[in-house]
Amino acid sequence: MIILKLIQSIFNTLHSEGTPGQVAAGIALGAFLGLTPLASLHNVLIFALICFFNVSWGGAMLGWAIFTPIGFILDPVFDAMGHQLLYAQSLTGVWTTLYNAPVMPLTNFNNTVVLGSFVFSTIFFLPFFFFFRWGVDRYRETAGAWLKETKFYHVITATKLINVYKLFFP
Amino acid sequence: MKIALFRWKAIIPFGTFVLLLVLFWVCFGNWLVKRGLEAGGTAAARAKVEIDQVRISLWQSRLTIYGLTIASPTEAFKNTMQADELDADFETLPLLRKKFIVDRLAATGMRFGTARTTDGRVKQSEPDTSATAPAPAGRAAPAKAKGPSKTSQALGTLADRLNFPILNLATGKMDVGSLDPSKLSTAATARALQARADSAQKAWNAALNDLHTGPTVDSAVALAGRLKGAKPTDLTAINNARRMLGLLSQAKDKVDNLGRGIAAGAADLQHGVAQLDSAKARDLATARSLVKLPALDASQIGAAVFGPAAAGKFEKALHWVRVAREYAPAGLVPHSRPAPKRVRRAGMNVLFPREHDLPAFWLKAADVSFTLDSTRNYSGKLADLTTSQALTGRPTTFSAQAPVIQAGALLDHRRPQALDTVSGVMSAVKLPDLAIPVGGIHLAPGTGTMAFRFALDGDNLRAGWDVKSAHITWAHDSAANTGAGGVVWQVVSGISTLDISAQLSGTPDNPSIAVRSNLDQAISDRIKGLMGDQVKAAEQKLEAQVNAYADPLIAPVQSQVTSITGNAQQQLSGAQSTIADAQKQLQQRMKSLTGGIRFP
Repeated sequence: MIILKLIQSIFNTLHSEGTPGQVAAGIALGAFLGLTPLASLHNVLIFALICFFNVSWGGAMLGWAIFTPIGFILDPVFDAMGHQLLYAQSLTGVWTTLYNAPVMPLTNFNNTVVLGSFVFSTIFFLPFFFFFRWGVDRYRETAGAWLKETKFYHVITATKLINVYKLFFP
Repeated sequence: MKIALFRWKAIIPFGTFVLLLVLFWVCFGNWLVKRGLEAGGTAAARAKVEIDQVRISLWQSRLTIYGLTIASPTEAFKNTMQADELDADFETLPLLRKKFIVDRLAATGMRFGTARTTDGRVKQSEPDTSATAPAPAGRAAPAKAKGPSKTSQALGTLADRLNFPILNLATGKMDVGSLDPSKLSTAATARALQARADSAQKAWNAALNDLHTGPTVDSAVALAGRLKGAKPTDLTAINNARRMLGLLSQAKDKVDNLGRGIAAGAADLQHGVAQLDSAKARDLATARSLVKLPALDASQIGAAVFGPAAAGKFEKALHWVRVAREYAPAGLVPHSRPAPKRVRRAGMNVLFPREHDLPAFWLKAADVSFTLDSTRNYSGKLADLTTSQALTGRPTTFSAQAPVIQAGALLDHRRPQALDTVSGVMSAVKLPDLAIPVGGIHLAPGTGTMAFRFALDGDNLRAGWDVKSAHITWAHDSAANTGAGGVVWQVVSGISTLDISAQLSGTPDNPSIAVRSNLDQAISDRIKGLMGDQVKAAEQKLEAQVNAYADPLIAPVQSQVTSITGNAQQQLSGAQSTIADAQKQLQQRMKSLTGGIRFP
């Protein structure tokens, strides 16, 4: 059911009225939510950005859903990255200042996984944005129009099964 | 088509989201703090920390904890501490910097060493204490805190490293090792003597054969016969007789020389026979050394009977000192500790303390009220409990003074070499029961005096535990009816006073303990008395084994020596006798022939 819902969400997002840039920005911000541990203060800011900037809400939720399992898989990489950064002698002054500054310690930046995933997500934000914008663009130009006419698309997007599912698991 | 950058209509949903967060905090804030305190406390104490209820008010800057229980990290069904209520006033603004500063705390209803129904110990991986971030450039790196090494933590408990002689005493059995003939010397000595006897026999036989006295004696006897009919003027006969007497004299000298040689050789062989007896005696001594006795010295008895109990006391102090050193390292060097567990990988939290700033945690002052025997309340003061004494500039101190108790603690982590001391004296209080690790014997010290002192200066350990009571009672289970338990029970059950003194020294990695008590000598004497007969029986058994092994080796050699010595001396005597007879006959003929006149 979750898979079905995800496929439906993908189609709804890709065929929404939002521009490829809006969809890609939403997915990239959603990826931020998925890659970093959710219960972190910076994710409130990311959520605010998703709310206030005119990005695709569906895209953000899609990005979040896709990148959450990827985040779990990449946790060892994030841990190692955070370890390297927090123990880098040249950055100790920066971390010390941030650690003793108001609010900043509440972001858990001094946690190896949080910092590693945050830096990874920041570095890959723009690549994700441009990649997904190109991808949505290409999709709409090529397979999108064709797929929209298929029976599969209509079944997926119009299925009442989703509504039944939503009734029990809103 | 131009698309607006901002979605202003999202203000209401976002505001709703923030309100939901606030509502969530209002509804579940206490529960969240409770879970956080339990998780953090469990990780720090390495034992379950349980809380009945938490009430936190950010507005009033007040935190109240009801029903705190900290399980014992070393004993399965015991609590380290329980408290009815902890009421704290904290500073709100430092919370924005994730620093928890408590100005005042009142702890009431504290109890120590209470029983629990479930195992409260927590198995978890040791924190990576070696993972210490480098000091910032331009700032002198304080020395790393002298906390416990990973090696020492991996070595197990203090009792494991002290290796008490408990097993020897517990079994109470005397072990008799196997008699290995290759380690005994009689056989080698016998073989050597036999070789010497064979050699002597051959040499003596050859020498006796080389004497050739028979022809000379025969010639002398024949000459003596011929002289019967000779005239006194027969000078040739007289000269022949004189020459023959000379030959007989030479033969006699040769025989006498050989006799002296044989006598010396025989004496040497007899000395060898005596050495065989010495070898046998040595083998008996070796056999006796194979009898292994259990720990009988009074000093070992003390360690065996009360060592584990003493080590348990020291172990607790060492555990909490280690926790203190881990969570309050010396200096301002960045240090890491494992992050609380979560669904995703927890990772490590790295702390970056800064000079002239607040520590992550600082309990400035606390008044504690506690009971020791559930009848009387005592009070104490705790001050400057913090995660960084380099920032507060003050050591952590605790003191409690009452008519029957004096206790104090000092945790000084300001210097690179940390100093942690704990001491306390309780008099006229009900002392906790002691389990004797022999035969299920339990000791109830009753009301008495207990003194405890513990100091860890860097890695140098000095600790002492003294217990005195004049009205002790004993109890035992069925295991104390037999073996060493029975022996100990027979001795201790009649003793009504107790005086234990345990001293711990060395380092946490390599500790040593000395324990003495008023029961040591009595138990030692009793065990020695009971084991004496067994020791004698074992020694007799081993002596019989040695005799059975050595006597068959010694007897043939002894016989051989006696035989060859006798034979040689017999042959020698025969030769000497025949020569003497021939000399006598010849001299008598010469005398009768010459009329007693001596010729030149």
